[in-house]
Amino acid sequence: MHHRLPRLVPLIAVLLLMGCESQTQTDETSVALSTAGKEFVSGTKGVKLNLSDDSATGSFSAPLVVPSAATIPLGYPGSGTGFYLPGVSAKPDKYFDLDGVTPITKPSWISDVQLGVTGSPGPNVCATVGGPAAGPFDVGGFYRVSEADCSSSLTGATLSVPVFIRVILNRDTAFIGTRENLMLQLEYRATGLRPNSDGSSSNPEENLDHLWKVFLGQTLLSSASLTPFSILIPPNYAHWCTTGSGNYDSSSCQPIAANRSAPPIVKQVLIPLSSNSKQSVIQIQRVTGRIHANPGQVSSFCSTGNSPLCLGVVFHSLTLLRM
Amino acid sequence: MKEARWALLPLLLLGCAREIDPASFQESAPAATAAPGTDEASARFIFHRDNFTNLEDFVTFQNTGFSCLGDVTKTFRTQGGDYSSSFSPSWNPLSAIPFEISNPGDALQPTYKPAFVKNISVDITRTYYAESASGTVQTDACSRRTDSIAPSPCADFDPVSTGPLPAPGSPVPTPTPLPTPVNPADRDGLLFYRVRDPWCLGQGAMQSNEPDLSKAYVGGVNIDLDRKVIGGSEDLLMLITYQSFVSGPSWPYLGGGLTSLTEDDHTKLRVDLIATARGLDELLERKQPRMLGDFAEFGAAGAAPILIRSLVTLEDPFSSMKTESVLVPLSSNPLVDRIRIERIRGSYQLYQIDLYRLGDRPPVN
Repeated sequence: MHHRLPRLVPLIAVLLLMGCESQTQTDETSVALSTAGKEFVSGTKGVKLNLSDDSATGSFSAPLVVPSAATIPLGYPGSGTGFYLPGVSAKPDKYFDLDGVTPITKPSWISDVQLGVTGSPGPNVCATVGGPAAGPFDVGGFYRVSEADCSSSLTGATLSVPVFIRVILNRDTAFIGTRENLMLQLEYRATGLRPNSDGSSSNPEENLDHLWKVFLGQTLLSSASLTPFSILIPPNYAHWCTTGSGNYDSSSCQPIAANRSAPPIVKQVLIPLSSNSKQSVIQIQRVTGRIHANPGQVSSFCSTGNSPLCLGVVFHSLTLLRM
Repeated sequence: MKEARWALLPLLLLGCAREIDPASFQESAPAATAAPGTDEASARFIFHRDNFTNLEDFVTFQNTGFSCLGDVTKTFRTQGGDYSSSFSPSWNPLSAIPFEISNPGDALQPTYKPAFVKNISVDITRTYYAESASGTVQTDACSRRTDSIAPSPCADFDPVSTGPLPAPGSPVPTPTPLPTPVNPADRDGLLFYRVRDPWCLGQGAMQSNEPDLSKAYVGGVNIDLDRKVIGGSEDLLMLITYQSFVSGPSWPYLGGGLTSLTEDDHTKLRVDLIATARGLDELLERKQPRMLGDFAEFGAAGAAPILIRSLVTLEDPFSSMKTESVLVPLSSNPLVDRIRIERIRGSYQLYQIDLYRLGDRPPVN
């Protein structure tokens, strides 16, 4: 070993120099990576959107037209790959601090928040936002879904079904750190006819009055599938029928005054962004409802449509918290 | 509790009890800088009979020693479809079918689980065919047939076959009242893991004449983790999708005229964090129903080590399908290597559990 060492000295020196150079490069790369891949990033940590068209605190406007397929905008996930189905976008100047009333600058880590609608506010609309109530079981202003008016064509777990709340994130690690996760807080009222399902199918999801899931995705491409993450609805927090059986028979179901519908609740959903650096689409979507199979049954209890407070959902607010 | 009798305790302790030395275990605790593989950030477990070793397959094929009744055989990626693909709903496109991590041909072989998961296992009380000699010998390595513990449909994978069904009963002493027998025709046959409370009388480890006690702590889930590949500062997000059974003639039926559950029968589940210090071999060789041995080891006073008891309780007064989100604070204790979902009472059907690792990890590319 001692004999060989002198002969190895030049080689070692070269290797060391290479190593030093390499180290320098690595450091530079490391710095660059470190900057681009910070574990936690400063800036706005939380934001709240009020899912209504209230002139002072509403984050959205009532749609005059239903959004149609469009090219995925530059900078959005899937940009350059084709078309997507947009929703009604939040107004840039109507992002609020966590108190829900103090306007703040739209955070850089949010590209857009969209609501999927099927029509302008009015009678017999499945999903809409804003405008006045269109019946005793409807509510004005807020984003709401009337199961009595959702046809079977509006079911599915793809990005082309237009009943959703969609959050599009900018996953640039200058805005969201690699170790950060995201907490969603959804404030909503979910009301069903039955606490459970009627047993008419061996598919437990198909038996539900309505089913909403949280999906995650890496693209907005309308033909892409969504990755199911968790169930949001059920549970419903008010029901008109005491049992889950039968076809809404009058013996177990009673029409109840509209003011006794489900109270608003807040549900937390922790999105594990840190487990996938490309997860940039969060879509809370109505997957299916069963009432469209026999709308006459629901009309006995929810008048003739516009049923968000009888069978459906009213969304009040969405809070996003980096953590 | 005063009436609780520990009839099985001595027997079980002999075979199963094991001392854990926290000091020595601490030495092998994961380093704070552990950086797990980037392709193992999450895993999806669908509690359908096709994805676990079930009784029908076990007596038909062979006991390989790689898994026992109730052990998981297939793991799925969270980037694919979910449990709902198991019944092919029309709204679930083909591209959203669950994407297996494991080899489809390895039903009775070691599965390709993510490294951070040692094993997933459910309590099984229907462990052999009581009224048929066919296949029962092969189940002996995994069941307590030789201990004269009778099978029960309390916790199983909801079989739809018309094979032999054990008569309702329980180990000595026989609690009262006995439930009305379940008519096989009433079984819904969804093939997900199902626990039916009325059938659990006498199946729990706490032998008691008090029905609620004799039914408790059976029909749970063990999620065994390998802490060596989980960073010291990592936590887990666990999503549990299940449905509790309800009163009245609603779906899914309990069967046998069991339509008069009261509000007190609503399902309650509890999540505990436990230190087992067991290797995979030890986990797989334990006989079903496993909670009998585990309760003696972890449930008895002084036996510990349940490191965090009652991390959260899960309850759904509306008895709907639902997903519960549970943040599991692994980083609070390096000894925790098991998440135990304990059934306190009630009937439920388990569809899916997702595990997501949070932090202490480079980004996925």
